[in-house]
Amino acid sequence: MEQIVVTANRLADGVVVWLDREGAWSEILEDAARFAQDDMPAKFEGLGETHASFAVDIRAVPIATETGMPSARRERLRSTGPSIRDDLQSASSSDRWATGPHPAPPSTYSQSPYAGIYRYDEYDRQFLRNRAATFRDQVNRRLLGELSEDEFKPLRLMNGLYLQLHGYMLRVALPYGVVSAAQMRQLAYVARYYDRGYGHFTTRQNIQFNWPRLQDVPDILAVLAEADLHCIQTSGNCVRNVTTDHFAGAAAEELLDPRLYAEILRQWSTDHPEFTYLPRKFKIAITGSPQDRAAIRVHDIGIIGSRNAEGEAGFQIFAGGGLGRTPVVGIKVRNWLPVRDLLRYVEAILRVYNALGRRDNIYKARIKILIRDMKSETFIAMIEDEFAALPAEHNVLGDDIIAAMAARFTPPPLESRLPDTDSRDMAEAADRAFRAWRKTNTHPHKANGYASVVISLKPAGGIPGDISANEMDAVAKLADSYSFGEIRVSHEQNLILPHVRKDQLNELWRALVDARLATGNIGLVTDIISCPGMDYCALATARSIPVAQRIARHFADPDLQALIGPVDLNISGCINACGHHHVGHIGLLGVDKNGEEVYQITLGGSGEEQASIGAIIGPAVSSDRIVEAIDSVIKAYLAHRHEDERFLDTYRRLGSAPFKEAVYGVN
Amino acid sequence: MALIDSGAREIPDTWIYPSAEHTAEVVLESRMIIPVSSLLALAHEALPRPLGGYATPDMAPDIILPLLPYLDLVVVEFPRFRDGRGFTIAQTLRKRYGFEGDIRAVGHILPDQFAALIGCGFSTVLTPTDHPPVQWTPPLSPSSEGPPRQLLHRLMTQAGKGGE
Repeated sequence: MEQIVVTANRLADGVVVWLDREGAWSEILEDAARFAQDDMPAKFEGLGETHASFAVDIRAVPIATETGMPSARRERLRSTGPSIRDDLQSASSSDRWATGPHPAPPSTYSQSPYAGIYRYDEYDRQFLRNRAATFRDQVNRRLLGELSEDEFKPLRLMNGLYLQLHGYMLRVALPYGVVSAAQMRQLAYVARYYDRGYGHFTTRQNIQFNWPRLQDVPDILAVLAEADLHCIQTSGNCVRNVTTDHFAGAAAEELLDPRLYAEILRQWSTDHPEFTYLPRKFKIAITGSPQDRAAIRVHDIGIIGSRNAEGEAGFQIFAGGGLGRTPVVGIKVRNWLPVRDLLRYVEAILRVYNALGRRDNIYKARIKILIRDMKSETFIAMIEDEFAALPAEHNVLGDDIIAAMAARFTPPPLESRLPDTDSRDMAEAADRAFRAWRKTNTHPHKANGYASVVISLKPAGGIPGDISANEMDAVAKLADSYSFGEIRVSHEQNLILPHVRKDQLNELWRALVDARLATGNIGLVTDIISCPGMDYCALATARSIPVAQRIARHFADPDLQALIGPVDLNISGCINACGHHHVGHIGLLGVDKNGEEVYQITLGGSGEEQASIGAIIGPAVSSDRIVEAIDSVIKAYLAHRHEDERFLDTYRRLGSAPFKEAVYGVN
Repeated sequence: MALIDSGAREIPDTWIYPSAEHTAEVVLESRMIIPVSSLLALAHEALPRPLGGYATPDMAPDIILPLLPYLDLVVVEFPRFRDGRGFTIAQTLRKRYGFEGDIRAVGHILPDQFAALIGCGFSTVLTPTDHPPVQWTPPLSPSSEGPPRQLLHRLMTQAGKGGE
């Protein structure tokens, strides 16, 4: 039998609350007044208006009378806290946050003068301070009731502030995934004093905090601004954080460093007067390497930088790609675009999209649907027409502008004449674990004697992409010691030290072992991309993280992972596909089937140069059977692969039949 | 509903807005704002001046192009503040078609969108009742040089190439 209780999130701090018998809000579910379903309409009337300045997202939820627990899994998780963090469950709100006064933030003493971030000047910094002050004003107006929740919502979203299951979530932009050690310390400070001691790196190379209080967010933005960090346009229907190759500016095979152009696109699109209320969010990715590590073909705009025969920099432009409900590989709209026209061309694409993209249905509002509906030739013709009609001098990126922007990136003072022999560290490398780590977790650097190192945030059984404040500080220290104070975030939710001397790799590895950050699984089956899923996210239809944890534990043996070789396994907790399941070699999509969490398996996806969308192989598999099903898929691969053939290539050669058979049996 | 200019100053509104009931049979007078679709059907040379055109967000900007020499004001409607098509319409009128008359935002718009409206070429805003002119004073009032912008905008402005 079911009854009804009324729930909401408290406006000022986001805490989950329940309406009690006195008509007040309690943090304890047992205090909730229970209503018979028939009584509800009368009881509920006027509640929204009465409590609008105290509670948000007020609604009725059914509970089971016998247990007193909500019937829906989502509401049960709201009432208990994330299932993957027993340590955080059922703390009363008075114990959740550090009490002030807080110590001075790291920006007052920590600098990273050689990190390859864009260098702010006082004008840039004042711009961020003003943005933070503007949001402080907006938060005050909301708390005073001058702004309705409906009006406030897009304003908070423009500053990366969501309302999720357990409260607010703040997403901080890490432009193109480049972070200095000093910035990482500032993020650790925010985690420690304004959140609950940790953060989560996302597939857009950002970091999100799961427990900020609305009343504190203006202070958090002010603290971030002092380290040249912000939350601008990490949400909302605007141009989002421009993502790029996590080895940008370091990779041996790179043709053009994309960070400069990503920064130009970032500044151009920030607070853009015309493109801040688009039909839907808009994602741009750029790479300058022939190896596409930025998944540019599944972005609204994907850009590949290279040089022509004359050595001039330019771009190939793709558009209309995307994941989500309707996954699409983008089409090439321009084979060559000189640097001077980059902003002009992107502006033309956005203008066509803003004028014509659908606004009647959010599920059909992305640019990929527009391109599909109007045929790609027509779309390209419209962009070219808009592009040709721009005034000749409008938004041209002249050499002087490029030079002035480029001057804001300090190249790392790499040492020349380092020996390019691996003799020393290989001699030290009697340790198999080091050798295995070195094989999977490093990438060739363009400079002799250097390598880029990936720090895995995917320990077996851990939460993919999660990092504690202490670990952030540890990584910052290692970056200072071994990588010129520079850190990258990959869209696979790992961290990178981009410029490490090869003769210091062993020493670095030992330090990572001490910090419990030396998991050697990059690109392997346990390096799982996972969205937060229903443990945190209000949109999710199933949990993602517990499934990732169980799969990773199952394949934890390093020898087994090495035997299996490269596999991208991606998990999303709903159709919005933040876990990029469509482009996983193996993809899992969690859905709800009559209250049960089940997982659709897709195979054959890839976000790389030969981008492809994975195909569903059969009926969704229950949560208890999912590890076994993935194990069957891997075993089928091992049985059928040719020598040195990656999982993806075996799938492409054979199709889904042997894998279907392995998971579902014959027929 | 009060009218403000680009400096958020309240100014007198001398225009006659189209009303839903009478649009079809109205006798054209100067200072009327007439739906663009109705104006297209009329002989342009006979139109009274000053004259305003009323554009809905689904209007393709090129529809209005032949009318622009006869218009002193273009009113652009925002049905919901989240619907950003009006920004592109204003930008196209100003930048692509070189329209120099008044461009006015009406409908569901927020004080927080003021800078964006001005940035796209709007010159007046008919403020909605629940957001009266007093709310439209920018919270950080820009100095004569304007608020600080990031480097790219400063470089673009220096180069005289328009920072947007």
